[in-house]
Amino acid sequence: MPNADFLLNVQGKSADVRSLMCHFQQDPHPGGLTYELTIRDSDTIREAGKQFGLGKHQRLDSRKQSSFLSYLFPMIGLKCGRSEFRFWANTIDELELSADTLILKGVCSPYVSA
Amino acid sequence: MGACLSSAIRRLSFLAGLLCLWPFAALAHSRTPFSLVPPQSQKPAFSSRLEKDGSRQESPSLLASLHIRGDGQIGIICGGDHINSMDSGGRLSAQSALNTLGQDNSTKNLYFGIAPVMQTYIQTIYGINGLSVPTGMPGEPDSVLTNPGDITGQSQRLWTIPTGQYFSYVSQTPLPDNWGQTTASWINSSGPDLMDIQLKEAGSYFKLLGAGAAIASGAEELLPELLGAEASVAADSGLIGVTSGESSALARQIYGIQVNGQPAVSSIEAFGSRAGSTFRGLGGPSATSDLDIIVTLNESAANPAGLATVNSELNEIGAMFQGAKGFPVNPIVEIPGLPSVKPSLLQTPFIPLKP
Repeated sequence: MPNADFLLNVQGKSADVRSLMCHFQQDPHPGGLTYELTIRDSDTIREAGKQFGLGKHQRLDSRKQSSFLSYLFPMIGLKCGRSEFRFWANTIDELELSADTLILKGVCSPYVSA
Repeated sequence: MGACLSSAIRRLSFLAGLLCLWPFAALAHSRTPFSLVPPQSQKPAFSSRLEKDGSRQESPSLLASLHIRGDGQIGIICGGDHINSMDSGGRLSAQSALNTLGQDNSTKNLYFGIAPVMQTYIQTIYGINGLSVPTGMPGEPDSVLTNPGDITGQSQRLWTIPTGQYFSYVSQTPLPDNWGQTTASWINSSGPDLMDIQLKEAGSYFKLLGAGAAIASGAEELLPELLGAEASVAADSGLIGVTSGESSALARQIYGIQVNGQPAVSSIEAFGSRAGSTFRGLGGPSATSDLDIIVTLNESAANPAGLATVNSELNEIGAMFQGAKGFPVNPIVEIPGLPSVKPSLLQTPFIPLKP
Protein backbone atom coordinates (compact mmCIF):
# COMPACT_ATOMS: atom_id res chain seq x y z
CA MET A 1 0.00 0.00 0.00
CA PRO A 2 2.41 2.74 -1.15
CA ASN A 3 1.31 6.13 0.01
CA ALA A 4 2.15 9.37 -1.81
CA ASP A 5 2.08 11.18 1.52
CA PHE A 6 5.34 9.47 2.52
CA LEU A 7 8.13 9.60 -0.07
CA LEU A 8 11.51 8.12 0.74
CA ASN A 9 14.84 8.65 -0.96
CA VAL A 10 17.98 6.83 0.11
CA GLN A 11 21.27 8.03 -1.35
CA GLY A 12 19.20 10.15 -3.75
CA LYS A 13 17.23 7.20 -5.09
CA SER A 14 13.57 6.48 -4.50
CA ALA A 15 12.88 3.68 -2.04
CA ASP A 16 9.78 2.03 -0.55
CA VAL A 17 8.94 3.84 2.70
CA ARG A 18 7.42 0.61 4.05
CA SER A 19 10.93 -0.82 4.15
CA LEU A 20 12.11 1.95 6.47
CA MET A 21 12.64 1.20 10.13
CA CYS A 22 13.11 4.24 12.38
CA HIS A 23 15.19 3.96 15.54
CA PHE A 24 17.50 6.66 16.87
CA GLN A 25 21.17 5.90 17.24
CA GLN A 26 23.57 8.58 18.41
CA ASP A 27 26.33 6.68 16.70
CA PRO A 28 24.67 4.98 13.72
CA HIS A 29 25.74 1.41 13.20
CA PRO A 30 26.66 0.58 10.54
CA GLY A 31 25.41 3.90 9.12
CA GLY A 32 26.93 5.06 5.88
CA LEU A 33 23.76 6.10 4.03
CA THR A 34 21.66 9.24 3.93
CA TYR A 35 17.91 9.45 3.58
CA GLU A 36 15.36 12.11 2.79
CA LEU A 37 11.76 11.57 3.78
CA THR A 38 9.10 13.92 2.43
CA ILE A 39 5.80 13.74 4.30
CA ARG A 40 2.52 15.38 3.43
CA ASP A 41 0.37 13.43 5.85
CA SER A 42 -1.66 15.87 7.95
CA ASP A 43 -1.46 13.87 11.20
CA THR A 44 2.31 13.67 11.05
CA ILE A 45 2.64 17.33 10.10
CA ARG A 46 0.44 18.31 13.04
CA GLU A 47 2.60 16.31 15.42
CA ALA A 48 5.79 17.76 13.96
CA GLY A 49 4.30 21.21 14.42
CA LYS A 50 3.70 20.46 18.11
CA GLN A 51 7.18 19.09 18.67
CA PHE A 52 9.26 21.43 16.54
CA GLY A 53 7.27 24.29 15.01
CA LEU A 54 7.47 25.62 11.48
CA GLY A 55 10.82 26.25 9.83
CA LYS A 56 14.11 24.50 9.31
CA HIS A 57 15.67 22.82 12.33
CA GLN A 58 19.19 21.47 12.57
CA ARG A 59 21.35 20.11 15.38
CA LEU A 60 18.30 18.75 17.14
CA ASP A 61 18.62 17.47 20.66
CA SER A 62 19.08 13.69 20.66
CA ARG A 63 15.99 13.19 22.79
CA LYS A 64 13.86 15.04 20.23
CA GLN A 65 15.33 13.00 17.39
CA SER A 66 14.66 9.79 19.27
CA SER A 67 11.13 10.81 20.16
CA PHE A 68 10.10 11.80 16.67
CA LEU A 69 11.62 8.71 15.07
CA SER A 70 9.79 6.66 17.69
CA TYR A 71 6.55 8.36 16.66
CA LEU A 72 7.24 8.14 12.94
CA PHE A 73 7.83 4.41 12.75
CA PRO A 74 4.37 3.26 13.87
CA MET A 75 2.78 6.15 11.97
CA ILE A 76 4.31 4.91 8.71
CA GLY A 77 3.07 1.45 9.61
CA LEU A 78 -0.44 2.75 10.21
CA LYS A 79 -0.60 4.82 7.04
CA CYS A 80 1.43 2.72 4.61
CA GLY A 81 1.80 -0.77 6.01
CA ARG A 82 5.08 -2.58 6.38
CA SER A 83 7.37 -4.63 4.18
CA GLU A 84 10.72 -6.25 4.68
CA PHE A 85 13.10 -3.75 6.24
CA ARG A 86 15.93 -2.52 4.06
CA PHE A 87 16.93 0.71 5.81
CA TRP A 88 17.07 2.03 9.35
CA ALA A 89 16.69 5.78 9.85
CA ASN A 90 19.06 6.52 12.73
CA THR A 91 19.22 10.31 13.01
CA ILE A 92 17.34 13.46 12.06
CA ASP A 93 20.05 15.86 11.01
CA GLU A 94 17.65 18.34 9.49
CA LEU A 95 13.91 18.84 9.75
CA GLU A 96 12.04 21.37 7.65
CA LEU A 97 8.37 21.96 8.29
CA SER A 98 5.97 24.09 6.32
CA ALA A 99 2.19 24.19 6.52
CA ASP A 100 1.75 21.15 4.32
CA THR A 101 5.12 19.45 3.98
CA LEU A 102 7.63 17.93 6.35
CA ILE A 103 11.09 17.01 5.08
CA LEU A 104 13.44 14.95 7.19
CA LYS A 105 17.09 14.32 6.37
CA GLY A 106 19.54 12.18 8.25
CA VAL A 107 21.76 9.15 8.41
CA CYS A 108 20.42 5.68 7.85
CA SER A 109 21.89 2.21 7.94
CA PRO A 110 21.36 -0.59 5.49
CA TYR A 111 19.67 -3.60 6.99
CA VAL A 112 22.33 -6.11 7.95
CA SER A 113 21.32 -9.74 7.89
CA ALA A 114 22.78 -12.25 10.32
CA MET B 1 76.99 8.11 50.98
CA GLY B 2 76.41 10.56 48.13
CA ALA B 3 74.23 8.09 46.25
CA CYS B 4 72.39 7.34 49.42
CA LEU B 5 71.74 11.02 50.06
CA SER B 6 70.63 11.56 46.47
CA SER B 7 68.24 8.65 46.71
CA ALA B 8 66.88 9.94 49.96
CA ILE B 9 66.32 13.40 48.48
CA ARG B 10 64.40 11.88 45.56
CA ARG B 11 62.26 9.92 47.91
CA LEU B 12 61.70 12.90 50.13
CA SER B 13 60.92 15.06 47.16
CA PHE B 14 58.23 12.57 46.19
CA LEU B 15 56.91 12.46 49.71
CA ALA B 16 56.99 16.21 50.02
CA GLY B 17 54.85 16.48 46.95
CA LEU B 18 52.67 13.74 48.25
CA LEU B 19 52.17 15.27 51.64
CA CYS B 20 52.25 18.94 50.69
CA LEU B 21 55.05 19.62 53.12
CA TRP B 22 55.88 22.92 51.54
CA PRO B 23 59.17 23.69 53.30
CA PHE B 24 60.59 20.42 52.27
CA ALA B 25 59.19 20.64 48.78
CA ALA B 26 61.00 23.92 48.40
CA LEU B 27 64.23 22.28 49.45
CA ALA B 28 63.84 19.79 46.67
CA HIS B 29 63.18 22.66 44.20
CA SER B 30 60.37 20.91 42.40
CA ARG B 31 57.75 18.37 43.12
CA THR B 32 58.42 15.06 41.52
CA PRO B 33 55.55 14.48 39.12
CA PHE B 34 53.65 11.31 39.69
CA SER B 35 50.48 9.82 38.46
CA LEU B 36 48.05 8.25 40.78
CA VAL B 37 45.67 5.69 39.38
CA PRO B 38 42.35 6.28 41.12
CA PRO B 39 41.32 3.22 43.06
CA GLN B 40 38.09 1.39 42.37
CA SER B 41 36.64 2.45 45.66
CA GLN B 42 36.17 6.08 46.46
CA LYS B 43 37.76 5.76 49.85
CA PRO B 44 41.02 7.54 50.54
CA ALA B 45 43.74 6.05 48.39
CA PHE B 46 46.33 6.30 51.09
CA SER B 47 46.01 7.29 54.69
CA SER B 48 47.93 7.10 57.85
CA ARG B 49 47.62 8.16 61.45
CA LEU B 50 50.55 9.25 63.59
CA GLU B 51 50.22 8.65 67.29
CA LYS B 52 51.65 10.89 69.99
CA ASP B 53 54.20 8.28 70.83
CA GLY B 54 55.54 8.37 67.31
CA SER B 55 54.04 5.09 66.18
CA ARG B 56 51.93 4.98 63.08
CA GLN B 57 48.85 3.04 62.08
CA GLU B 58 47.21 1.94 58.84
CA SER B 59 49.96 2.95 56.51
CA PRO B 60 50.79 0.97 53.39
CA SER B 61 54.41 0.66 52.40
CA LEU B 62 56.07 3.96 53.05
CA LEU B 63 59.63 3.50 52.00
CA ALA B 64 61.29 6.65 53.12
CA SER B 65 62.51 7.10 56.62
CA LEU B 66 61.33 10.54 57.49
CA HIS B 67 61.39 12.27 60.80
CA ILE B 68 59.60 15.53 61.30
CA ARG B 69 61.05 17.25 64.31
CA GLY B 70 59.22 19.57 66.64
CA ASP B 71 61.13 22.53 65.28
CA GLY B 72 59.64 21.98 61.86
CA GLN B 73 62.86 20.64 60.36
CA ILE B 74 62.94 17.24 58.84
CA GLY B 75 65.55 14.65 59.52
CA ILE B 76 66.51 11.82 57.22
CA ILE B 77 67.41 8.40 58.38
CA CYS B 78 69.24 6.54 55.68
CA GLY B 79 70.53 3.08 56.25
CA GLY B 80 71.92 2.37 59.69
CA ASP B 81 70.16 0.35 62.30
CA HIS B 82 66.47 0.30 61.53
CA ILE B 83 65.75 -1.80 64.54
CA ASN B 84 67.27 0.23 67.27
CA SER B 85 67.35 3.71 65.78
CA MET B 86 64.97 6.36 67.04
CA ASP B 87 62.65 5.62 64.11
CA SER B 88 62.96 1.90 64.12
CA GLY B 89 61.67 0.04 61.15
CA GLY B 90 62.12 3.07 58.95
CA ARG B 91 58.66 4.20 59.82
CA LEU B 92 57.57 7.76 59.92
CA SER B 93 57.26 9.42 63.26
CA ALA B 94 56.18 12.93 63.79
CA GLN B 95 55.84 15.67 66.20
CA SER B 96 53.35 18.22 65.07
CA ALA B 97 54.39 20.10 61.98
CA LEU B 98 51.78 22.60 62.96
CA ASN B 99 53.63 23.73 66.10
CA THR B 100 53.77 27.42 66.66
CA LEU B 101 56.83 29.25 67.86
CA GLY B 102 57.35 28.76 71.57
CA GLN B 103 55.32 25.59 71.67
CA ASP B 104 57.86 23.36 70.09
CA ASN B 105 57.48 20.54 72.51
CA SER B 106 53.76 20.05 72.11
CA THR B 107 52.81 16.87 70.34
CA LYS B 108 49.63 16.12 68.46
CA ASN B 109 48.40 13.22 66.34
CA LEU B 110 48.54 13.86 62.60
CA TYR B 111 46.48 12.31 59.87
CA PHE B 112 47.72 12.42 56.34
CA GLY B 113 46.99 10.73 53.04
CA ILE B 114 45.43 11.09 49.62
CA ALA B 115 41.69 11.47 49.21
CA PRO B 116 39.21 12.29 46.46
CA VAL B 117 38.41 15.92 45.81
CA MET B 118 34.69 16.40 46.38
CA GLN B 119 32.28 18.88 44.91
CA THR B 120 28.79 19.86 45.93
CA TYR B 121 25.93 20.40 43.54
CA ILE B 122 22.41 21.62 44.16
CA GLN B 123 19.80 19.82 42.08
CA THR B 124 16.23 21.08 41.78
CA ILE B 125 13.35 18.65 41.36
CA TYR B 126 10.17 20.16 39.98
CA GLY B 127 6.68 18.71 40.38
CA ILE B 128 4.95 19.15 37.05
CA ASN B 129 1.55 17.73 36.26
CA GLY B 130 1.96 14.92 38.73
CA LEU B 131 5.48 14.05 37.64
CA SER B 132 8.83 14.83 39.19
CA VAL B 133 11.41 16.30 36.83
CA PRO B 134 14.95 16.78 38.12
CA THR B 135 17.49 19.16 36.66
CA GLY B 136 20.51 17.43 35.18
CA MET B 137 23.53 16.45 37.18
CA PRO B 138 26.86 18.10 36.28
CA GLY B 139 27.61 17.44 32.64
CA GLU B 140 24.01 16.67 31.73
CA PRO B 141 21.51 18.96 30.04
CA ASP B 142 18.77 20.30 32.25
CA SER B 143 15.17 19.33 31.69
CA VAL B 144 13.36 21.88 29.58
CA LEU B 145 10.45 23.61 31.26
CA THR B 146 8.09 25.12 28.74
CA ASN B 147 5.41 26.39 31.06
CA PRO B 148 6.44 27.58 34.53
CA GLY B 149 2.75 27.73 35.45
CA ASP B 150 2.65 23.93 35.44
CA ILE B 151 5.07 23.68 38.34
CA THR B 152 3.17 22.53 41.42
CA GLY B 153 6.09 22.14 43.75
CA GLN B 154 9.81 21.95 43.94
CA SER B 155 12.56 20.80 46.22
CA GLN B 156 16.30 20.96 46.23
CA ARG B 157 18.81 18.32 46.97
CA LEU B 158 22.44 18.79 47.88
CA TRP B 159 24.71 16.29 46.20
CA THR B 160 28.27 15.66 47.30
CA ILE B 161 30.11 13.79 44.61
CA PRO B 162 33.74 12.91 43.88
CA THR B 163 35.31 14.82 41.02
CA GLY B 164 37.74 12.12 40.00
CA GLN B 165 40.68 14.19 41.19
CA TYR B 166 42.70 13.59 44.34
CA PHE B 167 44.51 15.73 46.88
CA SER B 168 47.00 15.07 49.60
CA TYR B 169 46.35 16.26 53.12
CA VAL B 170 47.86 16.61 56.55
CA SER B 171 45.37 17.23 59.31
CA GLN B 172 44.94 17.03 63.03
CA THR B 173 41.56 15.41 62.51
CA PRO B 174 40.73 12.42 60.31
CA LEU B 175 38.49 12.76 57.27
CA PRO B 176 34.88 11.73 57.83
CA ASP B 177 34.22 8.03 57.31
CA ASN B 178 32.03 8.70 54.28
CA TRP B 179 34.54 10.98 52.58
CA GLY B 180 34.73 10.14 48.89
CA GLN B 181 31.25 8.66 48.72
CA THR B 182 28.35 10.11 46.79
CA THR B 183 25.68 11.42 49.13
CA ALA B 184 22.49 13.38 48.71
CA SER B 185 20.35 15.22 51.21
CA TRP B 186 17.27 17.37 50.93
CA ILE B 187 17.49 21.09 51.42
CA ASN B 188 13.85 22.06 51.25
CA SER B 189 10.65 21.14 49.48
CA SER B 190 7.28 22.64 48.73
CA GLY B 191 4.03 21.53 47.15
CA PRO B 192 1.98 18.42 47.93
CA ASP B 193 2.34 16.83 44.51
CA LEU B 194 6.04 16.32 44.68
CA MET B 195 6.02 14.77 48.11
CA ASP B 196 3.16 12.49 47.08
CA ILE B 197 5.15 11.34 44.10
CA GLN B 198 8.19 10.69 46.24
CA LEU B 199 6.17 8.56 48.62
CA LYS B 200 4.39 6.67 45.89
CA GLU B 201 7.57 5.85 44.08
CA ALA B 202 9.63 4.87 47.10
CA GLY B 203 11.61 1.77 46.33
CA SER B 204 11.61 2.37 42.61
CA TYR B 205 14.22 4.17 40.59
CA PHE B 206 12.89 7.29 42.21
CA LYS B 207 14.63 6.13 45.35
CA LEU B 208 17.03 8.88 44.39
CA LEU B 209 14.39 11.18 45.77
CA GLY B 210 14.31 9.48 49.15
CA ALA B 211 14.32 12.31 51.69
CA GLY B 212 17.64 12.69 53.40
CA ALA B 213 18.90 9.44 52.04
CA ALA B 214 22.58 8.79 51.87
CA ILE B 215 23.07 6.71 48.78
CA ALA B 216 26.66 5.73 49.18
CA SER B 217 26.00 2.12 48.41
CA GLY B 218 24.58 1.54 44.97
CA ALA B 219 25.74 4.95 43.77
CA GLU B 220 27.62 3.30 40.94
CA GLU B 221 24.31 2.09 39.53
CA LEU B 222 22.54 5.35 39.99
CA LEU B 223 25.20 7.66 38.66
CA PRO B 224 27.29 5.65 36.24
CA GLU B 225 28.25 8.72 34.26
CA LEU B 226 29.87 10.15 37.36
CA LEU B 227 31.44 7.05 38.72
CA GLY B 228 32.95 5.33 35.74
CA ALA B 229 32.16 2.81 33.09
CA GLU B 230 29.03 0.74 33.21
CA ALA B 231 29.36 -2.67 34.73
CA SER B 232 28.91 -5.27 32.03
CA VAL B 233 27.12 -7.65 34.33
CA ALA B 234 23.36 -7.93 34.13
CA ALA B 235 21.51 -6.83 37.24
CA ASP B 236 18.70 -8.83 38.83
CA SER B 237 16.37 -7.42 36.17
CA GLY B 238 18.38 -9.20 33.49
CA LEU B 239 19.34 -5.77 32.18
CA ILE B 240 22.77 -4.22 32.42
CA GLY B 241 22.75 -1.14 34.62
CA VAL B 242 19.06 -1.40 35.48
CA THR B 243 17.87 -3.01 38.69
CA SER B 244 14.65 -4.97 38.93
CA GLY B 245 13.13 -2.15 40.97
CA GLU B 246 13.99 0.39 38.30
CA SER B 247 12.78 -1.93 35.56
CA SER B 248 9.48 -2.47 37.39
CA ALA B 249 9.00 1.24 38.00
CA LEU B 250 9.58 1.96 34.34
CA ALA B 251 7.14 -0.77 33.33
CA ARG B 252 4.49 0.57 35.72
CA GLN B 253 4.81 4.02 34.23
CA ILE B 254 4.52 2.78 30.65
CA TYR B 255 1.70 0.34 31.33
CA GLY B 256 -0.07 3.25 33.00
CA ILE B 257 -0.37 5.14 29.71
CA GLN B 258 -3.99 5.47 28.69
CA VAL B 259 -5.73 6.55 25.49
CA ASN B 260 -9.38 7.50 25.90
CA GLY B 261 -9.41 5.94 29.33
CA GLN B 262 -8.14 2.58 28.10
CA PRO B 263 -4.71 1.05 28.73
CA ALA B 264 -2.63 1.78 25.65
CA VAL B 265 0.17 -0.75 26.08
CA SER B 266 -0.02 -4.52 25.88
CA SER B 267 3.64 -5.46 26.30
CA ILE B 268 7.10 -4.02 26.91
CA GLU B 269 10.35 -5.78 26.09
CA ALA B 270 13.91 -4.58 26.39
CA PHE B 271 16.48 -5.40 23.75
CA GLY B 272 19.84 -4.08 22.58
CA SER B 273 23.08 -3.63 24.49
CA ARG B 274 21.50 -3.37 27.94
CA ALA B 275 19.68 -6.62 27.32
CA GLY B 276 22.92 -8.31 26.31
CA SER B 277 22.97 -7.76 22.55
CA THR B 278 26.21 -8.51 20.79
CA PHE B 279 25.16 -6.84 17.56
CA ARG B 280 27.64 -4.00 17.78
CA GLY B 281 30.41 -6.22 19.04
CA LEU B 282 31.40 -3.77 21.75
CA GLY B 283 31.26 -6.19 24.64
CA GLY B 284 28.45 -4.41 26.42
CA PRO B 285 26.86 -1.01 26.84
CA SER B 286 28.72 2.16 27.74
CA ALA B 287 27.70 4.21 30.75
CA THR B 288 25.43 6.35 28.60
CA SER B 289 24.05 3.66 26.29
CA ASP B 290 20.30 3.95 26.00
CA LEU B 291 17.79 1.36 27.13
CA ASP B 292 16.09 0.07 23.97
CA ILE B 293 12.53 -1.13 24.45
CA ILE B 294 9.71 -2.37 22.24
CA VAL B 295 6.35 -1.04 23.35
CA THR B 296 3.46 -2.89 21.74
CA LEU B 297 0.17 -1.04 21.69
CA ASN B 298 -3.32 -2.28 22.26
CA GLU B 299 -5.63 -2.07 19.27
CA SER B 300 -7.56 0.79 20.87
CA ALA B 301 -4.46 3.01 20.89
CA ALA B 302 -3.31 2.15 17.37
CA ASN B 303 -4.53 5.29 15.62
CA PRO B 304 -2.94 8.68 14.87
CA ALA B 305 -4.30 10.41 17.96
CA GLY B 306 -3.37 7.43 20.12
CA LEU B 307 0.16 7.42 18.74
CA ALA B 308 0.55 11.11 19.54
CA THR B 309 -0.64 10.56 23.11
CA VAL B 310 1.60 7.53 23.64
CA ASN B 311 4.57 9.39 22.18
CA SER B 312 4.04 12.33 24.48
CA GLU B 313 3.73 10.10 27.55
CA LEU B 314 6.79 8.07 26.61
CA ASN B 315 8.69 11.35 26.33
CA GLU B 316 7.80 12.35 29.86
CA ILE B 317 8.60 8.95 31.28
CA GLY B 318 11.86 8.86 29.34
CA ALA B 319 12.85 12.26 30.68
CA MET B 320 12.28 11.15 34.25
CA PHE B 321 14.16 7.92 33.71
CA GLN B 322 17.08 9.75 32.16
CA GLY B 323 17.07 12.26 34.99
CA ALA B 324 17.37 9.46 37.51
CA LYS B 325 19.62 7.07 35.62
CA GLY B 326 21.71 9.25 33.35
CA PHE B 327 20.85 7.40 30.17
CA PRO B 328 17.76 7.53 27.95
CA VAL B 329 15.02 5.11 27.09
CA ASN B 330 14.74 4.58 23.34
CA PRO B 331 11.39 3.05 22.39
CA ILE B 332 10.19 1.30 19.26
CA VAL B 333 6.39 1.42 19.19
CA GLU B 334 4.75 -1.61 17.64
CA ILE B 335 1.30 -1.65 16.08
CA PRO B 336 -0.75 -4.84 16.53
CA GLY B 337 -1.56 -6.58 13.30
CA LEU B 338 1.57 -5.45 11.46
CA PRO B 339 4.59 -7.70 10.96
CA SER B 340 6.75 -7.50 14.08
CA VAL B 341 10.08 -5.73 14.04
CA LYS B 342 11.59 -8.33 16.35
CA PRO B 343 12.84 -10.76 13.67
CA SER B 344 14.86 -7.88 12.25
CA LEU B 345 16.58 -7.12 15.54
CA LEU B 346 19.57 -9.39 15.44
CA GLN B 347 21.79 -10.92 18.08
CA THR B 348 19.72 -9.63 20.96
CA PRO B 349 17.67 -11.18 23.71
CA PHE B 350 14.23 -9.73 24.41
CA ILE B 351 13.57 -9.24 28.09
CA PRO B 352 10.01 -8.49 29.22
CA LEU B 353 9.63 -5.54 31.56
CA LYS B 354 7.17 -6.44 34.28
CA PRO B 355 5.52 -4.05 36.74
